[in-house]
Amino acid sequence: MSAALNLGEFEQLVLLAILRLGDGAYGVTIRAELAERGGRTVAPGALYTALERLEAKRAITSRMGDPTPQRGGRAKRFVKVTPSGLEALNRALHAYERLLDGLDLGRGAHV
Amino acid sequence: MSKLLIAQRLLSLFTSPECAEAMTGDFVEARGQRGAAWVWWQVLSTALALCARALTTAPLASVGMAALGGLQFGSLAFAGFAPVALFPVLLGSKASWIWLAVTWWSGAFFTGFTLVSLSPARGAAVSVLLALMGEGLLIGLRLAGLDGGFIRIPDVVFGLMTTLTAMPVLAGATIARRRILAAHTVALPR
Repeated sequence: MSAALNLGEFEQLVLLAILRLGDGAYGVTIRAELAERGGRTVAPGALYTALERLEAKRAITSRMGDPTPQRGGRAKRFVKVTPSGLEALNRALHAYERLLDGLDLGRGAHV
Repeated sequence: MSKLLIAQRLLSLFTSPECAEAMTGDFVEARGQRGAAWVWWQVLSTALALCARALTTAPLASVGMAALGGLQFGSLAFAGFAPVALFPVLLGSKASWIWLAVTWWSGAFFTGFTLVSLSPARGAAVSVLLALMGEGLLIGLRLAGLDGGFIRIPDVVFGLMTTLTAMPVLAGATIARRRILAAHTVALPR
């Protein structure tokens, strides 16, 4: 039996951003999504190491797109969440929900 | 060679060529909004982050490789120092400066080359670690009063010879990595 995949908080945010972006998820768009919806400015180095970690954990897969002139003839590296990545993300989010259940954090939504 | 190709090659020391290409492409896309200084700052910080990741994913292997590299360089450096110390007539001569510089720098070069040849995925990161540790050690030794006096070499020359030893380590690692990438059509393990 393989060990359950554990995700850190930042990895969860990155997976959620990738899911939101669908087929258009690559470095630039993921950073923009995290800034716009996540409210945090992410250094490219932090994002790329997180993507490498997630790929090593088999939570995402990547494929190279076609080279484009806007990028100096360089290809984009598109990423996609794998079923095991999705399962790990769901497990983490359910854990949050169970822990939040009955707690008043001043938002009122979970009381 | 364009400056961004240099950036791409720097990144490919620590990740696969495909990832390095995509990362550089992302920086090119952002360059219009941010400027060249921001791009280079991000390239360097990304390279450092990837380097740190390569070291920390298998810390024991990294420490073992660093120890092996240190041992290899120490042996080669000592092999260069021994003839000069054995023949006092050589001490302080320009021939001794050149001999020591050649043996130390070539020892440093082969140390970087060996580390990457042993571990293509981690060798470059360990070489960077060794170079930084070596420079840190040199600063410590200088603060403790070690200079070129013990081998009768002017301090400036001794300082240059030792400080520049970090460069051949990185050069050896870079050349070995380039050779490996050129020889493999499949992506290197990350």
